[in-house]
Amino acid sequence: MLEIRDLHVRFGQAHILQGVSLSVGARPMAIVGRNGMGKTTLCQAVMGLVAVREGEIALEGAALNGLPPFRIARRGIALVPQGRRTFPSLTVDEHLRLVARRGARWSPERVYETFPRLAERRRNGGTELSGGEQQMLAIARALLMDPKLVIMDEPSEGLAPVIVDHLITVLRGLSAEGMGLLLIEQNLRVATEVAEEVAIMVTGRIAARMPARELAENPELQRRYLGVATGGH
Amino acid sequence: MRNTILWSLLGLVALLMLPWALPFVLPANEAAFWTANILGRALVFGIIAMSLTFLATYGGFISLAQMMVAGIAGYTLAILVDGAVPHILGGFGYGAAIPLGLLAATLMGLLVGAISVRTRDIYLLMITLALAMGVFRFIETNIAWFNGYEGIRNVVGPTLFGQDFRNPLVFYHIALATAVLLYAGILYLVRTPFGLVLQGIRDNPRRVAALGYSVGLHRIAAFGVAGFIAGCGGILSTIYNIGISPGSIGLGATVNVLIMSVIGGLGHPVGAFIGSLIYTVFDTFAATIYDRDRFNTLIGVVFLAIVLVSPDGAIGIGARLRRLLARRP
Repeated sequence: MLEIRDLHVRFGQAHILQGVSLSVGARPMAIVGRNGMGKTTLCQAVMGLVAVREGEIALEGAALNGLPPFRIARRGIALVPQGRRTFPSLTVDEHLRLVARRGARWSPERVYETFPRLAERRRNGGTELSGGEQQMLAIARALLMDPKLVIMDEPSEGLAPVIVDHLITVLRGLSAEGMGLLLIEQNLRVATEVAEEVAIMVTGRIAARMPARELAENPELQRRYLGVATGGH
Repeated sequence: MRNTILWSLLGLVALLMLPWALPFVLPANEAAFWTANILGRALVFGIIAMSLTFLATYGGFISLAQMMVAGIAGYTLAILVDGAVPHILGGFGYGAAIPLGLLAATLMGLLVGAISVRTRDIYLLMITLALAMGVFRFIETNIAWFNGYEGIRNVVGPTLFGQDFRNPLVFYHIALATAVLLYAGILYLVRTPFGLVLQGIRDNPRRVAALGYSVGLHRIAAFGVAGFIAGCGGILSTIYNIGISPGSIGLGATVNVLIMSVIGGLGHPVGAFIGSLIYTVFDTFAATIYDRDRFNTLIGVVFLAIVLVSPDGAIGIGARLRRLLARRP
């Protein structure tokens, strides 16, 4: 579905992405890696939010390079950004009506059915919500865009364990429905429980790619690439 | 919600009846003066200030070009309409010249929006100020189209249902109706997806782009809407002044609109009208209160006082008082 070939991104002297190649198919995929490896930059490059000098990004065969972010969004990629980035001055309901489109698979009503917590807080402002609620809102906002592929940048960051469990259920449900999913995660448990395949990013390159179960069951691999002794944290 | 609508309707009725209520508290000649020269003028300036407030409140754009855009509507009307002195183009009645003036202001608003689309904050302020001053100087020095420094006179306005447009009662009610329609239009617009996108741009433009909306096009469209609003004010003020001259769109006038918006408060479009009323009252009575020549000192002190007490303008004072009272048992 999403094809990335030899992608380079530089910020001044810093060479952040050093030739990333990755193909994301219909099965959910996760990218894991330590801080500062370029995971967030990769999301922003795909979305057109940072300039790409070299390399190719294509969605279902059509090139995305050089398109402004809003065109990439309309081609069918939705980004749930790190830190949620809900709008402080819009209510939950306004967030949803902002992106709702007629004839889309997701409507505000369906969002409220799926996330009853959001229905209770529909009149609250985007920053009056708890972290978990903001994450649900950010995901709902992405779903209403009717995307082919959702990219989520660290969705479990800062969430309580019980909310993380709920998140995993939601993401698995979406994936089962056929929504393409590219998950950027530091939380190994979320990555391996949602995704079927895991790519490991080290200093701006994809260092390895393997079935999620293999990484989950192999502490040696985890130690080598992620510097963690046991799964999750 | 229902309460708000009820109170708004009551307020509207009160405003409609105001000219008939004034003679009970004022001598007859002063009541007529208040109707046209204070309330009517405050409404007209309020409309122009509201075009600035609309951009500032919902988009976070401070534009100093709004008075110039209003002037474009006024000049288009004066150039096209029959009876204006000197005769420049003529050939149009008010029924055609007024919509053409509004169209010109909307196009100028779009143009200002397109030119300034990549700037924000202080740079947006400077580029809109530069555009306003450029147009002002051009108009001031161009004789063939704008009659230069003298401007165009004798734009008396149409006759409506046998009534003179400039009759204080008629003018007040037309200005009030225009202001109310535009105000209601803004409150409706900001609830539509377009308005929500605009507020999203104010909060986080990159996020709006990632949600599939072109930030640039929405910004330009917002400036077009503001241009139309300013144009309505420009048409009314041109008829009120029986003509238009470059002075009415110069630096002083440009800054006055900003002062009105800030005095009233940039948090809600209603602030524009509160600010313009305060401004107009001081503008008119400066001579009686202190001294004609000291008007700028006076309005400056009022400006400082309001901004120091309540950085969000006069509309913030009410909320501040309520909070103070609530704190005391």
